[in-house]
Amino acid sequence: MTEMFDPALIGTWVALGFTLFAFSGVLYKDNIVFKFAQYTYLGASVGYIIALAVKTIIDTAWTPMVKGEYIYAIPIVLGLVLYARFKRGLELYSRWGMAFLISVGAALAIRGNVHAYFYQQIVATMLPLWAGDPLSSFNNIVIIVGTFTAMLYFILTREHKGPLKYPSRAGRIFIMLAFGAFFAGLIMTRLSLITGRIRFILETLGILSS
Amino acid sequence: MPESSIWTKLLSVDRRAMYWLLAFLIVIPLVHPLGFPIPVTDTTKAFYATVEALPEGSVVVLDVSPGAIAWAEIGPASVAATRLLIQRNMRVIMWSTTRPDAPLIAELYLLKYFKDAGKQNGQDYVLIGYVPGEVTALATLAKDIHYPRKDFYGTDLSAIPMLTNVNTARDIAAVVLLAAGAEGSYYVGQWFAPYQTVLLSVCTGALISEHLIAYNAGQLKGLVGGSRGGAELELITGFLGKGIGLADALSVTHMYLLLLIILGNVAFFVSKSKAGRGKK
Repeated sequence: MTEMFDPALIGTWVALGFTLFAFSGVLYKDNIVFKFAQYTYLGASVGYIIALAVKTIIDTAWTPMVKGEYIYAIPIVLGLVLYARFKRGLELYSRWGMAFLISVGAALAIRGNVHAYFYQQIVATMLPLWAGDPLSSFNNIVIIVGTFTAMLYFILTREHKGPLKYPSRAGRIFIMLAFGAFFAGLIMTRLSLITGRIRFILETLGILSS
Repeated sequence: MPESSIWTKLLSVDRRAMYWLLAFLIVIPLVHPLGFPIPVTDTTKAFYATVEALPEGSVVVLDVSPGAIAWAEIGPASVAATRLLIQRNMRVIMWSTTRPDAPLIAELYLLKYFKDAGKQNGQDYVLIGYVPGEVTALATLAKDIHYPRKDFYGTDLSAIPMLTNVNTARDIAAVVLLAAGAEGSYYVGQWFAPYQTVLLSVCTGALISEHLIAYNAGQLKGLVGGSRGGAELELITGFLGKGIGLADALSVTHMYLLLLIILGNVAFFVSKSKAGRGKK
């Protein structure tokens, strides 16, 4: 009798129910159980994130501050003033916190990304045309030509005609191929998600072993 | 009355019929694996070789950022990567700066492998959990790994034996990213560029193109992409799990989608040309 109240088992069956509810919106039509699953998921996620955020503030800022590390009062105040935007007349103060966030974000981006995503990516395209075997050489040529022509496509101060006409068209094709690859990856992700849920259904129903 | 051919009918098929067929095509290879060949790609081989080349007992960060949603896709690869780290006796620090549900994922799906292998919490692994702040938090962790102060269970990080001499990114042998978002670019910017930390990625299919660019630039030393990568890693490590069955299902569904794309385009152009002729 106690086995019926195994929390893990109940959790699995609840998950199965919600999975089927979610699928019902796609495989049947928009309906009340589909909406119930949507709203429950949203509510549970937001509730969990808020609880975790409060716990983090207590652990990393509030507790050290009340123990005497008063420097942590600064981030707490900067965080609190973000909410000043909801009070008419005090909106200005929310910009202090926002300014701090944006400054730190910009500084971090400049520090790491200029080297990683500008310098190193340019270096990565400086490849030999002959790499020792035909396939690698072909790859190198595609990378060099693709990078060069895609950059030509973004020359916006000159009309794409004359010597720019065909290289910029080639650049556009390379860009479209890149978008295609991104999109294909996204489809693979979505199919994997569906497959994962279907596997879960089959496992829970005992059709597949877990 | 407009002419009704098989092509025009095809264009008006109820999309739910296609979804049902998709679900059916996923079930078949899951129940009866088809055994499609799975050649191991160079990026997965590089991932395996890099982990194998790390000295035993090194401290490795396992960034658990798939969340509950992406776990279905990169769960098999993540489990295989974790088991590989355990087999190599790595000391593993687990955290995420992007996903609040990451600690639950680690608890549900990864910690059991440490426990089964007789590894001790605090000695061989530590679950720091969710560290809010995304890129800012990662930049801070690179300078001071003790900055979250406590692990997921409330133990002071200063009291955890395996972290005694682990203070900055320079004390970390490698970072294994279980990535489903922007973590790759964060680590490249904040860990690889300043500290040259060895980065290895297990990522969702949607991120393969982005991570491949970083791999080709030498910023990532190995890359296991999507469900297919999971199957490859399971094969190469010998930790067979759910990835291989998933790869079969993906192959079938990809073929189905390709067929739909071809049929849809043919139907569109044929019906368009017929409509054009009808006007003349």
